[in-house]
Amino acid sequence: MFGELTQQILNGLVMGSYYILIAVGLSIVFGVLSIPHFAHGSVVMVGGYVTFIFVNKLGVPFILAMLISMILCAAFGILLERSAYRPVRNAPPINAFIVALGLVMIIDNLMTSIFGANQVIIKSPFKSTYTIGSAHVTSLRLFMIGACVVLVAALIIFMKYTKLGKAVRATSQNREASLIVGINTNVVTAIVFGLGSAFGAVAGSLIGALFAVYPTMGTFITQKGFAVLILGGLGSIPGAIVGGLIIGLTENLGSMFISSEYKDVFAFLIMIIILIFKPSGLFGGKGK
Amino acid sequence: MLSVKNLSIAYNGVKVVHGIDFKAEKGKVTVLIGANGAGKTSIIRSIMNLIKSESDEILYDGEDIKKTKPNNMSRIGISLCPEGRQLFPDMTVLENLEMGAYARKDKAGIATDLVDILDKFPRLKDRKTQCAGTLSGGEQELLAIARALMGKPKLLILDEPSWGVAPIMVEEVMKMTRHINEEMGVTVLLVEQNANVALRYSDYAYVLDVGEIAIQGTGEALLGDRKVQEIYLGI
Ligand SMILES: Nc1ncnc2c1ncn2[C@@H]1O[C@H](COP(=O)(O)OP(=O)(O)OP(=O)(O)O)[C@@H](O)[C@H]1O
Ligand SMILES: [Mg+2]
Repeated sequence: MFGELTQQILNGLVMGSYYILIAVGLSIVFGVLSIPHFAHGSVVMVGGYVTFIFVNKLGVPFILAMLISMILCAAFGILLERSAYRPVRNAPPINAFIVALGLVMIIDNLMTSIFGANQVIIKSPFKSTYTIGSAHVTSLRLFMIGACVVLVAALIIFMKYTKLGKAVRATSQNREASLIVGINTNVVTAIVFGLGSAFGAVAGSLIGALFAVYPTMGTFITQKGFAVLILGGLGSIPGAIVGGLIIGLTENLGSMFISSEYKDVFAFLIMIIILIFKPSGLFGGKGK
Repeated sequence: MLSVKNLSIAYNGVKVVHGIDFKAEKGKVTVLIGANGAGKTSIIRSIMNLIKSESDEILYDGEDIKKTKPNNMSRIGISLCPEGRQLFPDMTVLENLEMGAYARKDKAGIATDLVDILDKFPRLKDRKTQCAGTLSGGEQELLAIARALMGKPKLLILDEPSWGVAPIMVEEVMKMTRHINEEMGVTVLLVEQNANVALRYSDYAYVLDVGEIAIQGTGEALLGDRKVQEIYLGI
């Protein structure tokens, strides 16, 4: 029982890290543009496939492949914003919403026609297993947690202390004032899409090695990502971190104590319960 | 310093500003006075290129700035302290001031200016690490002005600095404006509804009436003008 609990907490932390990597990207994009970037899950999926091609087909080492995937996805994210979201920036919000849904369909169908609907698994170099008490954890899982900690810490430092990071925060707090003080908000927008998508590529690569990637996984990822975001408070990075951990842990502990069949229900249930008590999410509500 | 010729502004086909001309002379405080909805903010926003407008020319320091992007205005020396302050609410007072200097590259100059400005605004100095969103209305206005000054402007545009500010603070804000003009040599274009105060602190004034310049003259002359008194001072 106790061993099982440690095991599930560890698994929860791993999944939590995965959700955090996805949600921080959604969060910074939402902060700056206030758009629901539903295609983010599809970017994560594409990131997984890029790593899959480089590792499984071209024999590139995993870490290097993941770095390539981060760069390509960053470019892909920036391209999506420029080509799809920017034209509707001054239109009513519903337009961005519909554009996002359209993007998901286009990307997912394109990937299905190229790679087929079946899932693929990325070959992982992290094979060793460690034992912590009576729980077992593979080095790949530890790497997921480590990657999340390092990347999110780097993001927080970037946002807090660098000039560009401050420009990102300023733009998300007041776009027009940012223009007035001389910030090129188009550059800021590209930065958040680039960073968010690169984080997504890490999530996609690691989940592809841990489980699998398949063309329609994006929708599911986006749903989870938004659950985390709403629970934590829209546009808040601490919210995305705490929200990701809560959902990762609830899913795994819920599976243990109740049933793994309802795993995905727990995430949304906890989200609804928290929203009842704090409608703007855990870290939300200061308003703009 | 700034010269606007035949500026018209329309929203969705409805004209709100009808071909106005005005100037902000170098080294002076010029004020645009007008009631709610007269079109003051629209004029400022179109000078900054934040909205579309039509004009024959908008000259700043002899250069046409009709095509200058809003985020390049601070680089050529125009700082705006916008209507409603538009601070970065979740950033500290210090961070807001830093953002005001975003377009500048002279690190040493920014550091000295920050010290000077904090000395000029002791209320802000006491609240350096407080989030801007939690300041009082008057303090927020001071911060918005200070942030604009951090851009080291040649032309400072203030859009209704007395908005939402207690009467005693209004005088303080106006004195500060005059000080910025006289001591720092910054040309000021002030937009105000509060004609009584604005006229006392300005060199030249334009009175805007539903998108047209109705009266213009020196601040003193307009203070004594019967028509201005009737309409704007309610005497
Ligand atoms: N974005 C907009 N869309 C449509 N109409 C607008 C818009 N902004 C301003 N207007 C209209 O233009 C007119 C002038 O507005 P403006 O904000 O320039 O006035 P103002 O003189 O600054 O008023 P106030 O003293 O209340 O700030 C008003 O009738 C206003 O309703
Ligand atoms: Mg106005």
